[in-house]
Amino acid sequence: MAWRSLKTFTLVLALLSPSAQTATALADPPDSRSLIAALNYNFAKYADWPGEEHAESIDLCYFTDSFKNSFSELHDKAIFDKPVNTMQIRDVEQTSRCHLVYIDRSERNILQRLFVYLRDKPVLTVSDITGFVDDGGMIEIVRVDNKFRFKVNMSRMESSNLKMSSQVLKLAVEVK
Amino acid sequence: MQKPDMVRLWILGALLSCFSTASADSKPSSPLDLSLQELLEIEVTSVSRQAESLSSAAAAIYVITGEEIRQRGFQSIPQALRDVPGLHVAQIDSQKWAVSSRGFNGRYNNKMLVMIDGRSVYSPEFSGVYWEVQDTLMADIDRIEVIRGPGAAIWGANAVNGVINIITRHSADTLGGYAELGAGDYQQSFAGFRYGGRLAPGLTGRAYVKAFKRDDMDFDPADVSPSAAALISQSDTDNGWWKQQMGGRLDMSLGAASTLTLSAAAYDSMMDQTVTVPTLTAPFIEYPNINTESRGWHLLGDYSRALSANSQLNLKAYFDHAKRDESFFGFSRDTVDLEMSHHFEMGERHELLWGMGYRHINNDLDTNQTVIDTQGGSESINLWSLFVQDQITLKPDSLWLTLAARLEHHSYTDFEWQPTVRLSWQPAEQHRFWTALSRAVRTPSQAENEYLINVGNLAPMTAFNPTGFVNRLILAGNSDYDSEVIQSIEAGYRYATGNHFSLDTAVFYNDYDDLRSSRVAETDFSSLPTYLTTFSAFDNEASGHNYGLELSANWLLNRDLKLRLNYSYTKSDFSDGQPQNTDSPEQMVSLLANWRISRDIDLTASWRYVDRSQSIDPIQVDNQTVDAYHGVDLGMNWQLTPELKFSAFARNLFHGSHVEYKAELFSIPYRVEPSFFGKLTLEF
Repeated sequence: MAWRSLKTFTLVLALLSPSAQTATALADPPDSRSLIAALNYNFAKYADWPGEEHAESIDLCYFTDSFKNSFSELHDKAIFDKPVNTMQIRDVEQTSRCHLVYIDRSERNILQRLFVYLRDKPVLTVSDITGFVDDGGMIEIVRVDNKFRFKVNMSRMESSNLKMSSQVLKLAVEVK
Repeated sequence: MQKPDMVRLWILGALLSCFSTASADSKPSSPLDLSLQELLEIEVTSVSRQAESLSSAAAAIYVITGEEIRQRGFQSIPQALRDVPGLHVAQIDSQKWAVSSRGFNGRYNNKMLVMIDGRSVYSPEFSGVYWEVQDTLMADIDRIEVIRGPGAAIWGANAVNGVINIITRHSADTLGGYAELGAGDYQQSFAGFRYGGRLAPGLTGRAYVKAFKRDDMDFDPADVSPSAAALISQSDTDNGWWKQQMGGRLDMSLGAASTLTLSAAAYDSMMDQTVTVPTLTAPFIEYPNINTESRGWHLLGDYSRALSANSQLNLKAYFDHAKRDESFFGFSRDTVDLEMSHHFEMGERHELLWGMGYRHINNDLDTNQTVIDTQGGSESINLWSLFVQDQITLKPDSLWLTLAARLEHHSYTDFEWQPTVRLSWQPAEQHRFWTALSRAVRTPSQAENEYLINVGNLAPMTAFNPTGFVNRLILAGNSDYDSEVIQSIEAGYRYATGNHFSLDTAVFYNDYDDLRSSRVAETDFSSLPTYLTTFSAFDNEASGHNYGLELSANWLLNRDLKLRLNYSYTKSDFSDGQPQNTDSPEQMVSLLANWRISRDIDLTASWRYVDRSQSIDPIQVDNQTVDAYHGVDLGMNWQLTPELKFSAFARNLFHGSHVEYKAELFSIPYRVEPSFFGKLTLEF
């Protein structure tokens, strides 16, 4: 899997590059939704999907209008050599077109339909809904002492044939 | 894909590290330039600085967020509703409120449906809401959705001029401890405590207790006639009260496909009130101060199961008990409600929702000299309903048509048909238009159907009673009395530009038919010479229409200062002499500001103006007028430590003391005054 090892290599390089660990502050404190979009972008960077090398783009999806602005900031980004494509989706069936889907707090009522539909499909599910990884989601963004943290449900990812870089798992507050 | 060789790989690596070095010199402008590790180091300062996105609802909807409730220090649900465009919210006395949308305000406003987590709190005795006992820990409210205009096709009868949905937070969002403690002049003292926790994976819960004591408001003799003032001066005018409530909620996942929510609450409240009681001897009216206890509890279960990606089944059931020990209008009511709904998509274009419901209400009325139940005190009402809604996508992402209807069978009025047609059009990202045509009904209350209410006694040899005998005026329920009907046309426009400005407007024209009227049905001379009795019966002969405009504009001036203007204009045209207030204040304006002055301190301010309003007096023929008023509310929240917050609030400033509203029956007017309170909030 030359493509995959190349991707891993460059990403690890970026992660280890000294500058990346020193720039901690931003010129302007970001909106929490921009932070969430950036977290999703990073999860997508370090995830591996089956058949990813044949994809034309990495498709990141979200549901509500309130994330339109923050996700649209990702439009000129790339993950290794694939352009990032962001998409607002309106119903659960559209999620199978996505590599990653972010479900924000206001969409709690679709979770059960989503889990029923995505069962074992290779779609990375991310949410800030409390209890998301317990209920069957893959990555849950949590807030600890006013900073974002995340939990990962590895067994759910594995049953959907998704992989996550160990560099990311090291940063998680909980991996189950 | 071509296999890359090592040289290209190294070049790429070198370029990448160059890029990240460069971006470290000048600080990155976007969180997208940060690594995951760095993102986790950034302090999340605010929830969001973006203006809210446009609602896609084809209805006049306004949402009060939980954040706003906490920031503005609203200690009760009516307070939180005050500045919603198109709502007339007025305080009657220390406990009582009049809340209405698009006209028909009153203590017993019957044209607005109010629900807390899907549980109707609309009282069938008089058709309306006892606002004083509708409460929860305010910090646990997720949002309050206010829908103006008919919502009966989905929510059911009595959603004639509006629906208010109070939605509490999921227990997974209220983990940990919360305590609040406060004191002030009107808000004499209050305390609340909640603890939420994860009981098992997929099972969270919370429990709360709260209690408060609120002071009397002042009665001013200038607000009533000199003769009434002289009589009231001999009585006590206390109207202070206390209330305590406890409750909780459990949310559980039952496998990946199902969830179950259980919630419960119980309350007890003690209220002083000065009421009017007609007497047979001069001066034919008394103003005793009575002590009223109101108690209640409920239990609610809500089960939801995903059948597939686009199909979901919901089952909801609740039991609600309410009791009011009031010497002139006491009752004990039990309600059982069952509802099933199924939401699914059919093909690409149809999103369907259908369901059915059954409600059984058993009500025991305490008969007394003012209110008499002709059916012997105990009454059962059964309500069956069936509803269906189809939201059709005519053109993907731009044009939607919604057809919905609800068929109900009510014990008093048999079948009721309440349809709506709604069209929504989004020609471009920042513009949305909608329009709706609806029909809704307001079903008769028990009072209108079967009670006898002694609204007053007329002294002999006076203008309204030229006979030589006391004339007892009795409003008599009429079992033939039918539902009031509204037919409404509405349209709206929403606009948003970038993150900085948004506008939401609605216009409406409501045509009302079969409105409540009363006619002299019978004069009973059998008790002469002590008194004679005039019975007026309710019927449905009145009609009228109103129209108006509502507007809400939001500006985000910079990331720390937010302004909002809410405005409404309503014009009313109704036939004369109606036994309910039909008119809305012509103009209402609220200007709201939120200013974050530092990381830890924010300020809120609101100015409001409410035009003069009408209230009715069952004995006087003409409506009474309540003068226009304005007022200012101020608030400050200071986060002392990450756990502890101090807040201070001032309400109704700069307009002295004034009457906001006069209740239509049984009450005397009280004055709203400037008030202040401070509050400590601890989260752990």
